[in-house]
Amino acid sequence: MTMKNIPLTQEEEKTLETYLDGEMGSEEKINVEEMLRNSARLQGYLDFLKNVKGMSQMSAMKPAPLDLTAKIMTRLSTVRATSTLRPASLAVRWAPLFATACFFLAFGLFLGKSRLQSGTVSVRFFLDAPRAQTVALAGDFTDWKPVSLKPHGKEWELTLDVPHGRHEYVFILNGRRFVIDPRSQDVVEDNKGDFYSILDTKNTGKKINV
Amino acid sequence: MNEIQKGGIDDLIVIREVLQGHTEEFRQLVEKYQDFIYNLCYRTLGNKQEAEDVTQETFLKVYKRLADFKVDYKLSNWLYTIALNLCKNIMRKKKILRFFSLDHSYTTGDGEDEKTLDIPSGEISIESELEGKETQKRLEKLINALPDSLKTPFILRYFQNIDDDEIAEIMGLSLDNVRVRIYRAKSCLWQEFSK
Repeated sequence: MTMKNIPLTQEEEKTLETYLDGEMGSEEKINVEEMLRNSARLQGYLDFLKNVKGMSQMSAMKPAPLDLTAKIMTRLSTVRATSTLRPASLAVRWAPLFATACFFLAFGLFLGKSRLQSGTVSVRFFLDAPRAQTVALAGDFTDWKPVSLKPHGKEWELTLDVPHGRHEYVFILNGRRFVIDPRSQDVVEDNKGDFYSILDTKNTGKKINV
Repeated sequence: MNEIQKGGIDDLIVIREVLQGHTEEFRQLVEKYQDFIYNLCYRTLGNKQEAEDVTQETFLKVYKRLADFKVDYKLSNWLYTIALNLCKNIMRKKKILRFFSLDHSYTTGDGEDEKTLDIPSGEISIESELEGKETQKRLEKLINALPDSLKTPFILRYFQNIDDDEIAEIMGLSLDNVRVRIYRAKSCLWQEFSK
């Protein structure tokens, strides 16, 4: 190892990278340029960094072979389609719920009777977002006010009484990122290009817990 | 909703369609990400055919497991993670095969791979803008000689233009660990480069 290639400290390295990226204030830039003039080691590293960045910019993207999409799509047709794979968690949860509903129906004591008569339906929302700090839901049935979901294992869940009809809603992750429900019955795009999930209580889909 | 981060929402729309049974919609995801995945695999493995095979496997795996997609994870990061795991398997297999092979000409004296990327001809004309063909080839060789633990974050950072925090997510490492690895990769490269 010569004096010229003694490793830079992380701080020195970061400073030169910031300088090279043009993300430095004018005063700091003058200081760095002064340092560069007085240090062959730093100048050598800067030249090296330019080579690395130049090389990565010039040859960053190697396009995939033209027929790759077709090959992948052909292979997809030979495997079991995801759409037919109902998530196990849903199947497990719905089996006891269905059995319970049948039991109460048989005795004329359907659990949600009073709610059905008042024109609402109990809906259980859930979202698989294990790393989210918070998850909330906002929809027309909450007057677009966020309502927090509670963590339940790796999922987040919330049960709400929703008036019968067609509704729009969206999940909010960590208070800032809006995401649709990937398992919603439908989605709609508004005139700003934002997407919302659709819940239609007439369509007794898998999410509706009546 | 203007202040809202909308990243990844288009992917979710497509994923929802595929989960609803519209398999052909998966093509949109393939077309959107295949170059990124192929590029990463090619940089990691240094072989076109293997890069293509791993890219195909990556999309198949994601397709099969799409119902498990976590909305708080970027689809691109999930693809990168799967692709890197598949690349690791191939590299591990190669090392085992090489161990039992009598052909020692494939390795250098220090035991590291001496792979040279099969650079497409189109790139050679571009590289005239750099210091020269030899410089780039030399750097390519040095990058390929890095240990995988340093090479992978370096490639993600400089060839895939991925932020450090996303590299941490993809590789399952802490942000500090990623930064140290990239720093060490550059230090190693520089020391070899400036010899």
